[in-house]
Amino acid sequence: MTNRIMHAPRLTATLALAALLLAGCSTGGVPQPASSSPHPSTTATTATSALAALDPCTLITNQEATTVHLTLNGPHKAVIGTGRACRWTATSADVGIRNGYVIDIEIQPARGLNDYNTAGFQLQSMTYKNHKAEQFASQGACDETIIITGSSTVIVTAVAEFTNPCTLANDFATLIDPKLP
Amino acid sequence: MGDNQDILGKINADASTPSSTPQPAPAAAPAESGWARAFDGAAPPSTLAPGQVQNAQQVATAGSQMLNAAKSGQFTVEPGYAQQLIKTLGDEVDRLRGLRSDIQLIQQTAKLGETPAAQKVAPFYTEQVADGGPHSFVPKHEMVIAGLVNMADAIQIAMNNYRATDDGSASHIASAD
Repeated sequence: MTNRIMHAPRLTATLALAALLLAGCSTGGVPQPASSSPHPSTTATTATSALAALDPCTLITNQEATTVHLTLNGPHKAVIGTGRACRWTATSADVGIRNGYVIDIEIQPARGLNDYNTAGFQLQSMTYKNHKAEQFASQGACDETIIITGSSTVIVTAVAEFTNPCTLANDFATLIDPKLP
Repeated sequence: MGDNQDILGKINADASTPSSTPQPAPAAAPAESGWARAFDGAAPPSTLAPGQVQNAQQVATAGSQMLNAAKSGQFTVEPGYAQQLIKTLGDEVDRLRGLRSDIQLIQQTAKLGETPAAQKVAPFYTEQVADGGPHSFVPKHEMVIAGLVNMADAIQIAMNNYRATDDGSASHIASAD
């Protein structure tokens, strides 16, 4: 009897937890876009909203930019229609003509990984602390297309001829990964 | 914060590490030697536009020849003017890198699909824009950057040559006194 009294709350808690987990797996109600991100606490809907409000120029702070000798060129016209982009340059004047490079960050709130052309690129799947990504490498340029949801992405592009652009794109994706929804 | 400092330190190290992948191939220098003759016919960097990539080979050739001429001491440049030239060349390379970033995204965005129209456009796109053919944009772009970087290196060497000549003349005058 004593054992039953002591175990009852534990059993109730277990059942409640199971019910919560099952409710979390439910697909009833309004269909939600599937999240491809391993980020555990963010639903696809809130991630999309947060991404829509995100200014790409805030993803590398002024202090971070100064530390790595980047100059903020500011908002940059997105190549892809609905996106928002920002550009930084390690200028030839600051780091030497061979060590210069460009970093672009482009937020694509309405374009998922499957919406991109992969022909002509060397592709590689990447995993960051909070997100998965696909690396698109070509001659002299490389980008990490970070998956936010099934229908939204953030692209980090690096251009460098004398250093490995994929290493730089990977580094900057690692830097901004925790700042993304 | 520690992670953040680690990655910033890694970026600085990576940004100054020469790539182990093949570099953009500068054009082979023809047998001619004079740098001025080499530069003749090449598009001046400040006027190079995306539509003028047909001049890429000439820029690359001019860069190689200038570099060879500077290394063999065929010309010198006064330091004040040399610094201006190097700055101009660097600004142009920075601008071209930005253009290359746009091209990367255009390549990635152009999902042409399987429609009959897309099938017609795809070969043109691959040949003219992407890095799939001898006349495509990306290799030409790399060639131009290699040429401009060689020019900047040549001017740096020529500036050092000027200083060495100047110092040599000064010490010669001093010893004559």
